[in-house]
Amino acid sequence: MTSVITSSASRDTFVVTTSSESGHLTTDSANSNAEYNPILLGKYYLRLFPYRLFHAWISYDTSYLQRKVSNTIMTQSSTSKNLFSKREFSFTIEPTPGEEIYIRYQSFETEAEFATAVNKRRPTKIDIGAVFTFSPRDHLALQGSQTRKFNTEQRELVFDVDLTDYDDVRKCGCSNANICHKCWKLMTMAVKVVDAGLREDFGFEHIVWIYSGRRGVHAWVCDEAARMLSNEGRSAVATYFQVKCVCMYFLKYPNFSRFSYRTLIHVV
Amino acid sequence: MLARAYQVLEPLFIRDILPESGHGLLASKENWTGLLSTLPPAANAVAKTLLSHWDENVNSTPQKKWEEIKECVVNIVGKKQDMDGKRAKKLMTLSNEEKQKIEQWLYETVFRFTYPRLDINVSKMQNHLLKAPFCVHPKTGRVCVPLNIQDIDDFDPFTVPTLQTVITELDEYAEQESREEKIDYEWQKTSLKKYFDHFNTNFLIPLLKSVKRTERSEKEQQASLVGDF
Repeated sequence: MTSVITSSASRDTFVVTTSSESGHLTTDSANSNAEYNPILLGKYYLRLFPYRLFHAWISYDTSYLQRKVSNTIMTQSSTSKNLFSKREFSFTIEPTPGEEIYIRYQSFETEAEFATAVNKRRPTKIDIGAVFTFSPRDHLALQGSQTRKFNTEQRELVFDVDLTDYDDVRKCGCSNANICHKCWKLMTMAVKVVDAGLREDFGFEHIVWIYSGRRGVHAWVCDEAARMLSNEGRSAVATYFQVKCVCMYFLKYPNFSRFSYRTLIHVV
Repeated sequence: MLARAYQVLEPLFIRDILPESGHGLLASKENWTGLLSTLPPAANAVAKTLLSHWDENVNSTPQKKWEEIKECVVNIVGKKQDMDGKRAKKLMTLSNEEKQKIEQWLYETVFRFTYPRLDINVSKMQNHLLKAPFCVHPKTGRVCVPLNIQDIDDFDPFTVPTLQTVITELDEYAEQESREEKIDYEWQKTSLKKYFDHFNTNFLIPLLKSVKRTERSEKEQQASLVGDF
């Protein structure tokens, strides 16, 4: 499968054209593709996407605690610090099958504005970026400004674990995007070890683990101390979780992949 | 950290990696020969002994084999004194460095097959983008649901609601005669409820309460600074 990325009119938008040699998308037998189509996705965004939970979380909006639960979407901007409007979102949209457009630096004033955009665009993927000093959608206008610097202000500390990185030790017969119950155990192990380390060694409390929808998991660490970490601080925490081995005899192991070498270079 | 990780991982390694029902690391001759060949050269004699021992004892389980490997390693590094004279003499000739390598092999084997492999580039940068929770994976149709760490052992990716399931559930709910439960959100009518409720109760509410406590104490501090009680 080949992907071509072309930069289009706006520099925030990238078009990715994917063509498959066999003429159809590769899917795993266990992960059926029939479960997904744009019409169902439209219904999901209209009726099921948890906008309220999502907005309260990503804007750290404490008024959610008092607010009487209701299914009407908030049109008021959140009170505290207005983190939401300075948060970058990016949408991956697929106007025609095989053509993916990736739009960066989207930002929204309110939950309602976000919901409207999601329902209109029906993104196949929504990405969450950092909170910036200004609304990301204005970032081009801020370019070159001396007084109004467009910088990141905060961001959750995130972790990504993916079963494709375990191919050399997956003896269940799975590889690449395929998964089975046997190799999912490796994800369970990863969650246990990283979660315990984050809580016990770093004292983080507000961690949420998310199934990535296919072959991995993501962790979002949302404690203020984690959100305020510099890039250096983030690297330090991430590196802390890397186990390395000095024992070079591992290299003679036939399936020793580039990845496991990266992970296991030095015994602590 | 590594000691704790080892304590967590070794039992799971024994349960989920070694046997045939797992990744079969010690479940076939081919696999155990392969594993023993990764032992440091200084432990070649031990590997040979184990191989012939396992050839004779065909009913030995993968778990038993792992215990035997550990026993041999413990013997080599000299924490046990119950070796016969000949083997002890042979092992005496090993340098401390070699002994250490053999001991490390034990830990590294467990870690190599079980230790988390993070894509750390995602973690390193403040402005790295990551897929939002609650999205739907286009290839599987499965919703990116929050996991409950308390019962992570029971989480099964193959039972995660798909787009098709939850839309069908919505339609089925509409057809139901008796609807007693109070519904605030439509997702409560579907199997997403379990996952989203967990996110709300065990993550979101405690998080926001803690944010509120911080805001309050900041306010109080500011008030005391300007003498405004």
